[in-house]
Amino acid sequence: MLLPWEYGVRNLARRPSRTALTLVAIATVVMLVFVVVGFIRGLERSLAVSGDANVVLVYSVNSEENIENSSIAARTPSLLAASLDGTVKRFGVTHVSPELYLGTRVRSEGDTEGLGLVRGVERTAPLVRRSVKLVEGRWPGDGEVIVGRLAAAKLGSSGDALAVGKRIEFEGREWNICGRFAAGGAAYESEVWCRLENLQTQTKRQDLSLVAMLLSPGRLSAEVELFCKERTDLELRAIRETDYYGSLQQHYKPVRILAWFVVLLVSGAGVFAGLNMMYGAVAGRTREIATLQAIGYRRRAILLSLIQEGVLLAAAGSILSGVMALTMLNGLAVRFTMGAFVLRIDSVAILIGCGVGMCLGVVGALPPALKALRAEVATSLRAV
Amino acid sequence: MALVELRGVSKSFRKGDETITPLDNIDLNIEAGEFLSLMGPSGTGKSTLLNLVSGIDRPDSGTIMVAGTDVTQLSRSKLADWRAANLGYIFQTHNLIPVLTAYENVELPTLLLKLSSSQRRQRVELAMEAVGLSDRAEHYPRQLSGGQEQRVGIARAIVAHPKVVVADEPTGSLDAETSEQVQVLLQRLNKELNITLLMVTHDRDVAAIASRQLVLDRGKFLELAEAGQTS
Amino acid sequence: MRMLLCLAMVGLGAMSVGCESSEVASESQVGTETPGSQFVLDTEPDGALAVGEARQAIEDGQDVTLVGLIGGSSEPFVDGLAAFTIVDAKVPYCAADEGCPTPWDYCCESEAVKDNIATIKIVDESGSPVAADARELLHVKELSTVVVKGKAKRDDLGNLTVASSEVFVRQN
Repeated sequence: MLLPWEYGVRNLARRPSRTALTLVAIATVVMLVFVVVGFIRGLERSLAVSGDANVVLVYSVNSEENIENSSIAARTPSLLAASLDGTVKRFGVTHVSPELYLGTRVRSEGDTEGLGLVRGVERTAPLVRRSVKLVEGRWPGDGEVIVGRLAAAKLGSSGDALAVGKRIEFEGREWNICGRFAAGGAAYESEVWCRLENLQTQTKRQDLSLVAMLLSPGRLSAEVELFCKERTDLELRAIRETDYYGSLQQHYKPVRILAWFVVLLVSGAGVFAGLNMMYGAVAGRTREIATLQAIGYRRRAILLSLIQEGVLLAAAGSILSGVMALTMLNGLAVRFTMGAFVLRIDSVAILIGCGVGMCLGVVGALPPALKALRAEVATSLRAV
Repeated sequence: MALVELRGVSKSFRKGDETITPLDNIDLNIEAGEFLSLMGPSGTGKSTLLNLVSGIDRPDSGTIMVAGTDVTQLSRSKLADWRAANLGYIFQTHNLIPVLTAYENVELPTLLLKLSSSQRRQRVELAMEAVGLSDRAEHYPRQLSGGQEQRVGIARAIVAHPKVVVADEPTGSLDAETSEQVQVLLQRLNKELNITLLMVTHDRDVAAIASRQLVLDRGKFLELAEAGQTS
Repeated sequence: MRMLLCLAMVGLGAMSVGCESSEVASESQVGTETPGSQFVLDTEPDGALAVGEARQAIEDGQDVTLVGLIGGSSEPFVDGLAAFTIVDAKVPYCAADEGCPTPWDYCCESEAVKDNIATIKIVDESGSPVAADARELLHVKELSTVVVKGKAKRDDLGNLTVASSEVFVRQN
């Protein structure tokens, strides 16, 4: 038989200041867990939604995984279109997107300057990058750019500085912002897009970074890969876009492992908050616990009641943090090397955050409770 | 057969290099409905004996039968269940749970019994009435006087209708007037409700309210007198 | 996801091989024979040319027997198609004790590789590349030495591709 629920609840109010401090400590720990898990989930989500299984990226074999370093001949798109018949073609337009992609200093209004990601594209780009949607303004003309939803976060500038009608400066010229686009959380959302020929002119380059091709359903990206292998003179490699972002997932694996390690460390630190609270709470109740045993309560019932106290406090802290995380953290843009992404407080993050919170309650309560219950009842009954 | 039977019970403690044997092969019978007081100087093993009868301590040797159960043979959890059903414990320092009201404190032992909520309420109310504290049911221990606290403690000890109630210095922390009230209450419980009581005290006057008084000295009992002969 | 896709590809490849060739013995029938063995020769063909030599001597459309080591890039195999690149055995690659995790990419000899590389694609009776992983199909891996017999495809830029249905794998 368990002890009444009220016993655990009212015990929390017994030392209000200690309980309040522990609540704050647990809530802080859980909040930190939310931040880190939100970061991991956001990064994973960004990479997961960035790839399209029907899109193949063709870029230089010498650039390894870094497309920014890639340089391929300007004739590559026409060569690919002519040699491979698996590309989608509608209304006479082959869905092949030649792109020049670079990381460069971008100065926005208010003199804020940050490292931005700029992609020079043609009108075929949105046909291939199907998640890209113009949410405001229009497609860029000469000397104009469209900015992604998270470009401001990537540049470290305010959203207002990248509003339609504002001007930004990169590669030695000023560009008018004529539109904004979203891409369902994909990596492009942190980019600035302009016309390919404009970017080539400004950077005095005639080459491309990559060609993105939309394959017809049922066609294998391996056909493009085989073409690249056969044309060794072109020094090309082809990779399905999902695999490319999959490899980035691998690339960022150490970051994610480190982040999980931080979760572990933070949780470990949080256990001490729980332990401190429960040791304090139990230490003064030695005689009370012995009395309950003398009355006839089993040790397990008392143990559960003490754990209930810890869990109750931890649950309150977790809920507090959860609400704050959902209202304040969820969707918060984070700048990262690959661009920017938003913290994602999803069901998994909530589950992990609250799970850690509950564990703090249980793990924090167990040692002091067991210590108190191990003591001899006869001796404890006379404790002061 | 006596309600409580101790046969050849010994209990020793180690204190540094020295071994103390407060109880040395003792025998004791307590009949149902009896009120037995146990006296003796400090450290003679009075409370130890109480704890052995209550099953919260174990003897080195011997048997302790309470209402037909050898409590020395029960596991820790079985002992807890046994205490819940058969034993009431009155503490010197009341030992009420500070976060529970007087009513809730008295209700605690009944939660361990298979009772309906109305049966439980009835028992608690009767116990509160028996100790004259029905009007203090919703008070927390900090809102009660020492005497009232002890009366709540007594109500808690009797509410489960135990076969035997043990009291460890029940008046030890009370002033003379309150002590008197508690003594009267204990006598009434014994006489009116026929509750079997084993009380430990170092106070000869308090011991005198019992129907039988024993003195524990150097591990052995000395029978003082039948009730009434010492007063 | 990628793993699932690869498994699906391998599965697809195995299915297509199974459909196209009823003579292929299953593992339970003959212990030494494995799926894909229709493309694997038991004896080494004579007169194999080294890749570098072949790039000089072979004309487009000519039958050729070529020998080389699977490699030339960090990923010499094409995922989903039985195709890979081979490099002339005269081009050195990093020794095992040099600690290079991918010695088959010839990273220290990339210039030499350009003139000593050929693409091999395993084709079925109709001449279409087999949709299977060559590693599974031929039981080869990076730096395996293979002797392939097939038809050469040359272009003016020096690229050499051999469409083959007969591969002998030398035991290194």
